[in-house]
Amino acid sequence: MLHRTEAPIPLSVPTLPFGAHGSSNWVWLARIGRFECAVEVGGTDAHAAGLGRHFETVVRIATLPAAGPLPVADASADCVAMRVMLDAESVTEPGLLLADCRRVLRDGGCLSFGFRNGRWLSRAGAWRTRGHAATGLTVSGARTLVRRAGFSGLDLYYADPAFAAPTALIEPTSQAARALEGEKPMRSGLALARPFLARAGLHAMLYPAYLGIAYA
Amino acid sequence: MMNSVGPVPLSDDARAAWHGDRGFNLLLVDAAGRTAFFCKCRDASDAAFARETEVLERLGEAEGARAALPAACGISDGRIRIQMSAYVRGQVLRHLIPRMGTAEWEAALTGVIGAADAVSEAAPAALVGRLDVRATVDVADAGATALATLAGAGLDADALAVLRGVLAAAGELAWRPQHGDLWSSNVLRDDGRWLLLDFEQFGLVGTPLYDVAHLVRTTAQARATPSQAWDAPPPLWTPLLRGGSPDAAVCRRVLGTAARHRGLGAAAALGAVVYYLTDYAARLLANGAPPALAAPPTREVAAFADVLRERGTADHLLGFA
Repeated sequence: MLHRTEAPIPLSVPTLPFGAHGSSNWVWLARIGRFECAVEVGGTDAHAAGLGRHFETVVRIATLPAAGPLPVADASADCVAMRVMLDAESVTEPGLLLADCRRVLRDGGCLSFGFRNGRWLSRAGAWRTRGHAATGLTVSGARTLVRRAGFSGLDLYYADPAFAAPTALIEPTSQAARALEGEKPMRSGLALARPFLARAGLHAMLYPAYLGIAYA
Repeated sequence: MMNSVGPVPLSDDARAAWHGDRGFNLLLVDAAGRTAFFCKCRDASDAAFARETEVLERLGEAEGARAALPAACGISDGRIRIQMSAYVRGQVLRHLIPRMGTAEWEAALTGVIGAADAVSEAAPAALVGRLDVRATVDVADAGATALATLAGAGLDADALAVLRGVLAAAGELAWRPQHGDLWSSNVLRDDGRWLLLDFEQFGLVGTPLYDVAHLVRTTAQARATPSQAWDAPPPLWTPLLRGGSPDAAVCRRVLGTAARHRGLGAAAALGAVVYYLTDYAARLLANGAPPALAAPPTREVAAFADVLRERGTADHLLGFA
């Protein structure tokens, strides 16, 4: 069952990126035991539909409120899927947003969120100026924010090739990066270097974003 | 988690999705950092996936077949089905092909065909109740649906008539369960042996030479594709086959040898190859494959039909002339 709290998305939507339909599969990695209600913030129809296959009810919030809390009752959700990245320019107070997500969650629930990987080997400067805060979040910064917001645990994954439509979610370890890069098809150009970077322990440079699953 | 391209469980609108865009895979890494298991994860209602899992489990128990398969088992909870295989630290044939010399490639084709033959021979006993076993297959009858699909896709009437005639001339061939998708990405080389992957189509085709033709065609096309254009559409196989290159000679030799080994004369072998080309193209069209995947095999059928119209025969392409 799907409830909308904002105006419905128009029927004609742009073509989704490859992998967008699988973007709810992260739920299989979440260590939660109840699937009654999920809150989807900022995602697409495909995101909400995918979440709706796991949870009995999905509350859809199309855009983050400009001010004030999420329009969801305290301790009413088993999952919050935050599709707006935590270090997006539109998120001025990530700590407050995380705390509000914790308010919404029942104990034992989870929040999924994303933030950019500041070490990603990308064209210099391009990421920093495309709608993201100049300094961004570090892994330790994200862990601190999550802890201060009242969450009891955090699992982190590299999201490859992008947080919006990840076709791979792997633990941020050398073993996992080597395993993933070893499965990828033939490459050309700079992509030929990926397996070597993974084997050399430089996996932090390979993936543009993290997906975090924080536990209430 | 990797290859996460389709939701599990399936949404209602995703049920009609191209099967290549379903579900996700898992790599399970042990404490020492070695990949130990490869898991395919699909919606529990995916009947084709359930069948594939059962086929793998039962073939894995057959003495003649198990050496050519990774050990696998399946489990389902009603929402998700997981097919778990022992991870094989081999190299995919598709990655090896560009570096192979002509002789090495021909030896690889022979080895893979041998592995596929071993599985095909063990299958009828191992898959009792799961295979539609029969003595012979009428190629013209079996190919009628594919020709109808290709007609609907715009293949011209003259080409269809020529292809229909070739299928009719082939008559009835000895039934033999085929892998059904034996291309270079579904073959692993591991410590000197060849392993076959992805058994979703296994046994759904019983026309001989189907696997041989698919393997020869796709590997020849891979060799003809420049490495920097690895994601470009493959070149047509029919013009390659007509040429005088060493690779063309290998194609003709392997096809001809396989046909004779199966007791097929020229007309029967030609009918079997035409059945493969038309069935493969039609299957992609019927299953809703993206145009980038479906268009090249359809063009291949048209090109092969052109040769038949031009020369009246294709014996020279199949090692019979």
